[in-house]
Amino acid sequence: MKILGICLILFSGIVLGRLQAQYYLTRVRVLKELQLAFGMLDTEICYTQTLLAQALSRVAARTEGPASRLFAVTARSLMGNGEREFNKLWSRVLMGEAGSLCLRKGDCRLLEDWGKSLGHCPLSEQHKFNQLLLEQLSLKEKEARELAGKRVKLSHYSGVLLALLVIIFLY
Amino acid sequence: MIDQTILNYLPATIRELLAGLPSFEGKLLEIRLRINRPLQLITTTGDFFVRSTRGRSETYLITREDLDTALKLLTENSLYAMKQELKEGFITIKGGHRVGLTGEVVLKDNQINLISNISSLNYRITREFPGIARGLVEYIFNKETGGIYSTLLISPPLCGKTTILRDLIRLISYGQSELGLSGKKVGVVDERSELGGAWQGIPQTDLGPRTDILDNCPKARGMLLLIRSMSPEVIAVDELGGDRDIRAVEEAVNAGVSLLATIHARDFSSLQLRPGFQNLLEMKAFKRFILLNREQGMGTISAIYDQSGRVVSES
Repeated sequence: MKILGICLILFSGIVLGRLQAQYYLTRVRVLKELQLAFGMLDTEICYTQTLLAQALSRVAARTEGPASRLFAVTARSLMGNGEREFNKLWSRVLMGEAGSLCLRKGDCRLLEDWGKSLGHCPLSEQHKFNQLLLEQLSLKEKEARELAGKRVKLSHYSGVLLALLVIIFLY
Repeated sequence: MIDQTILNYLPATIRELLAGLPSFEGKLLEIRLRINRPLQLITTTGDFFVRSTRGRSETYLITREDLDTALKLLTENSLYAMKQELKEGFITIKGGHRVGLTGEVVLKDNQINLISNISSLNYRITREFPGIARGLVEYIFNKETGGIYSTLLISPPLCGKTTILRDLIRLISYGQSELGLSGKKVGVVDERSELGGAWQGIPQTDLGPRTDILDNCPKARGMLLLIRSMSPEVIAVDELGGDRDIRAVEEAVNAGVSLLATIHARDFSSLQLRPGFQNLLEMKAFKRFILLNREQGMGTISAIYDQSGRVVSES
């Protein structure tokens, strides 16, 4: 019975450590996916001048993961009968999807600020806003990658150590 | 109650104000938003300013935020895709309604390149009058050949030329069995989206089952394109004007296609004075001329002439 309990605690510690590590890795992946998605969106905006809702929907269909879902939910809402002002809707969708995106507050603020640029500037300025966002996302990804390099192993170890600490404390 | 389609393109504050107004029963013509000025409605019987809900005696003043929000809704959050519309000074919305805009004009090579800092919006409500031109079909239908006479609708502005042309297109496209007129293939060159009221490429008005529409296309180029690619039996265009249009009309007539067109002119004699049109009259490009006025309301037929200037019908 004791051995079974120890095994359970150890297993839980490992899982917790892995989940924490996964958060850092997912953030890197999502930031990369977002860059890809926004790159495609910029193409839709600048070269085919597709209306925003359709552009978001097309990009969502060509990408995968949480970034794709973010675009798909926004496109669906824009085409629906509810809020039709993009910046308000975008903030709301971002807030709703924040959990699955594994992004930090600073990352979300970048995306929210970009949303405010849409709807009131002509093509050339819109392209500049898109490029700025892509550069900022690239910097964030670099930063997230460095952070992940430091914290992933640490998270694994701390999970195991935490479990061992609990075992020592209990038994 | 105002058409929900139009309300969807207005900011929530204005939408609420308008929703509280009594029904206009199809009499509403325009909704005007001017920055720092009262919200104005224009109906067939007159115009008035809308009162604010805060103080019953105060009129509601349009704010910069109202205009910005309206513009976002009108452009579907895609101002970047509206360069042509901002150049032309209007945006067509769902339902075929058109919204005119004014503001700061940006010139490039002495041409209007853009209208920025929008300060006024004019929501012009499109109304269809199906059947308004039914009585005219017998005058432009050639019973011997089964074809349509090339016809020019003439009047000063706001006499209903476009409305009548739109209905003629529909009637000819459907065909009129009581007259023995079978449905014709009609090609429409809709330079300013006034005939089809196309929104995202889809016509919002019923122009008939045999009608092909070239939206946003210059008339002269569009007429030639239709002749080459769509084999129309009738081509319809609104507001003929420049030399290029006249040359395209000549080509269309020489290609054996019937034309339905409109032109701004006070009467038949003032049309004869317009440069370029004498040639068209001499070559008898048009077989029927329909004169319109507003004496008994929009779309009153004043007279119909044939190619020799003889009166075919008079009011």
